[in-house]
Amino acid sequence: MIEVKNISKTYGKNENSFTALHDVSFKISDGSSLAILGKSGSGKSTLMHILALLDKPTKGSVLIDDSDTSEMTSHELDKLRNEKFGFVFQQFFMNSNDTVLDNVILPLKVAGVTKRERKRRALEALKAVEMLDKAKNKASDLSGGQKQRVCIARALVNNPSIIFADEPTGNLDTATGDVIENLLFGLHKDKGITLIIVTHDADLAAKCEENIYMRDGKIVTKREAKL
Amino acid sequence: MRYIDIIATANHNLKRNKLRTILTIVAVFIGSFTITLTVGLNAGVNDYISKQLGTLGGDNVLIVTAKGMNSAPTSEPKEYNPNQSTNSTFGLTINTMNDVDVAKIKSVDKVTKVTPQLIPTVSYIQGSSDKKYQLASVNQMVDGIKVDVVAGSAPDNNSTDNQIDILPSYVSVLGFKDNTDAVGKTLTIAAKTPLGLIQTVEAKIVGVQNDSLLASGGFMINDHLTRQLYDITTEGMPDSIRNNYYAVVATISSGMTEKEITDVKNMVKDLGYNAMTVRDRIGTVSTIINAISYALIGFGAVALLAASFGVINTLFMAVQERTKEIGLMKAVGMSGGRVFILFSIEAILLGFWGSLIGMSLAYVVGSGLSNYASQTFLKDLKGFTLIEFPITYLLIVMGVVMLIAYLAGTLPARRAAKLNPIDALRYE
Ligand SMILES: Nc1ncnc2c1ncn2[C@@H]1O[C@H](COP(=O)(O)OP(=O)(O)O)[C@@H](O)[C@H]1O
Ligand SMILES: [Mg+2]
Repeated sequence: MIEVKNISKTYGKNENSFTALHDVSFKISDGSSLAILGKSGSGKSTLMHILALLDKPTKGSVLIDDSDTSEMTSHELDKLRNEKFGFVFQQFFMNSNDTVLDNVILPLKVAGVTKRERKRRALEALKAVEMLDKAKNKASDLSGGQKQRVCIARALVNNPSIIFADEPTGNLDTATGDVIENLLFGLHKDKGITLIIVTHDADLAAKCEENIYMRDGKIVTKREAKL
Repeated sequence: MRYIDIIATANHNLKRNKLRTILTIVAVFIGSFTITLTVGLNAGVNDYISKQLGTLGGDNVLIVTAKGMNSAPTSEPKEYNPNQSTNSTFGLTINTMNDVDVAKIKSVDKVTKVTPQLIPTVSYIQGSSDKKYQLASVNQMVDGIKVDVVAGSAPDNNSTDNQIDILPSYVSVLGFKDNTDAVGKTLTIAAKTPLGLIQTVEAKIVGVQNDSLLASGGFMINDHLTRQLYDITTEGMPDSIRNNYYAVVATISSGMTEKEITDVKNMVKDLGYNAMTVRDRIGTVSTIINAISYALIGFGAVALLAASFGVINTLFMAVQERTKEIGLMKAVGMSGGRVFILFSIEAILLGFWGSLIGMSLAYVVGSGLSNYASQTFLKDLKGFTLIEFPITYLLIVMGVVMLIAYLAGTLPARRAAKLNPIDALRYE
């Protein structure tokens, strides 16, 4: 379970400072799906980065399974992200000169998994996103939708308990976007992976059990899971 | 991330921008090449010198000369001393030593024997052929010194025969088939009396010796032969001129430590003489070679300094280009420390390849030069490899170059390590 307690985030200092998040609190239970909605600049990415332990809040704390992440060392945070989290970004962030397989392998390489094992697991992840036949292709040869599928495979490869996706369909047309959505929700249902998705898309949000609407760094409405 | 993967990744990253990598390696290569060649030259020369010292022995032998006006004219005026013996040849006055000096040196504790060095001049030599040859010098055999013989043995000072060791380059011209053939044959040696009359003596060739730094083109002769030749060249002269020595050799009792020998040397010096061991004498050659080496190594170091800026530049560009990638690696849990290691290894690899190529080429060029030298101007100095590449030296050069590359890489590597993944991923 992730618990967000009164977090604020201020960028910069003094007169140049800008507060992107104001006193935000909520909880996400394991295995649920959450959509963070709002207009551009409303603080969705900032919030997601803090949830994903990529950034630290200026005030407040993030608790993961009841332990306060502000008390963890950077090494513990790195390990947690490496083992428990998967990331999907709007801009893909792939090494275009490397093969699809190498891109998917990266988190396992960082984790220190042996060569044979990581190849096996990466191929398995590519199979799950139906990209096995492109494993040896260069990443730059793929279409946008194919790239995002590879990114999902990369997010999936370490068997995460949570996948963070920042506007995963933002750069895709509706049809390909739907494929990506179905993939993510399939993983959510089949593997019980918690999904945290930042999106503008109301249809995508509707598929999530919980919604958070943001405006100017504040949560304006919450739709929580019906129990 | 495991080290083997970090190294593989670093290597892979260097291949991404091949041209830039190659240009940086070339800069490292130039420095490594110069330094390796210089170190090789230094090793070759010093190795030869120490080999010479090893084969020469003579650690318990002091070469004693008179102080002042004994070599090049000194700039300082020196007061005349009627007791100081001198020798004037070609208008140059040299302070020499006489029997009083010999007795004084002999009185020093632990000095067992003092042999005046007589320097007879030889007019010509003649072997079994009709031709007569000039000879630059003859060297009086010093007991305790080992002679590097290729055939036969060293002249024996205790023998009452005339004995001589000749140099290999004279073997065939003197009419002998080969080195072993020369041994046991007779050599005629001619010297001039002060009145200009040629007189000859016969000597038995007991050995053929390699030329060396000490022999420097001269034949080695025993005491008996030395005395005979000296008597001819000083015939009819008064004793005050005859017993006038350029140098005397003091033999110290054997089995003494280096410190004890130094003590004896200082005692002799305190009596007002210059005293040198064989090691000291050859050491001066070493000093000159070392000075040249340091100058060349300095040049190589400047080249390496320039190369390290190349490494810094290359890696800063790489960090810039790969900002997003670094951000992603950190997001998926790679620690700053590992990112630092990754870039450091890229720097070290640049150093590794640069030094490997530099050293390999230096090896090829150096071996070629060495071969050429030993077939030409070093022909007579047997066992002298001009440029040598001992593996330890190569490893040290490589280690130092890699260390320099690493140090240059720390700046960009630190920047990469400190990158905030969020900023890196937002960066457009
Ligand atoms: N590093 C930063 N420094 C200053 N302001 C920032 C920084 N990152 C984001 N912001 C600001 O914070 C606000 C929220 O940004 P963001 O969370 O990216 O919004 P969203 O993802 O909802 O579009 C924006 O106004 C943005 O300009
Ligand atoms: Mg955003």
